[in-house]
Amino acid sequence: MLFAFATKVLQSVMERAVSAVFLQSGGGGGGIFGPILDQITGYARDLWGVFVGLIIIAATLGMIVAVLRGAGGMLIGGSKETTVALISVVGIVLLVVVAFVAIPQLSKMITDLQPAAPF
Amino acid sequence: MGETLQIILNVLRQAWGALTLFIVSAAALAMLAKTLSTVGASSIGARFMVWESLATIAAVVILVLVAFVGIPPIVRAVATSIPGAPGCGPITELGTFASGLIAAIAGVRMMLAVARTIGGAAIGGTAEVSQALIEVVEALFGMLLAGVAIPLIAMFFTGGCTQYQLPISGNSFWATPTH
Repeated sequence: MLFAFATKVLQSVMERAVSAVFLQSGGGGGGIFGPILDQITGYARDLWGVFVGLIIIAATLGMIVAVLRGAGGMLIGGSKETTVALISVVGIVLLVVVAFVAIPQLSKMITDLQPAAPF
Repeated sequence: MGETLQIILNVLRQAWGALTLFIVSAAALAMLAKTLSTVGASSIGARFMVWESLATIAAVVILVLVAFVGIPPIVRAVATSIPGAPGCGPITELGTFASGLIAAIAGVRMMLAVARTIGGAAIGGTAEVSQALIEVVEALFGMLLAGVAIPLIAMFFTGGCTQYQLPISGNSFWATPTH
């Protein structure tokens, strides 16, 4: 139950993270460096998607491992092991949610801070 | 000469913009890569790696803040710190041209140094922020040479600019107007 809920949360957060970042903007306005900027932005966008997907996969595997540990703990009556496993699942979900919410905001902040040339 | 300088400065301004965009992209990707590392470490229960990844994310944010908030005032200060070139005619114009160009190139090189640093921090390498500060000193020295010393030396050897003369004694680094 918890596992299914966590996966849905991660899925929705991933969709937000992929669609709400600075990388949506093209490299327009770069003057003679515009074509290069377009290429860099394209590669960065692809890498961003790859990283988000990998994070989801790593988080899912981590949660499966934690659930397995919890189930094993329950099987042998190890209440502490089960508690630790539950906390691990919650911790991974929190980590991913915070990261996917915080990093786009940080990226937007950095984008807003971009200085004009001082010369 | 002034128009040529503006054309070259425009190209350097575009390079500056491209570098800042590259820094934004690199920083965002670095933070996401470190998040992946954090999640992986958290999955296998390695707490030390989690703290290391979080520290790297904070370092990347601080580096970007230094680059975007700290470097422009330094470049502005360097660009305005050199006095007007002594002498007259094309020598002075060339000195002013070279000073402006050196300041602009120094700004772009500082931003490039920070971009390299962020890239290095993202993959766990060493930070090279000091390189950006070395660029400032190099630029100041180059601007002094191009804007003051070389016009003075050229004036001395070519014997031009009759309204100026080099002093016999005292501060030999500066020409004294005779009128």
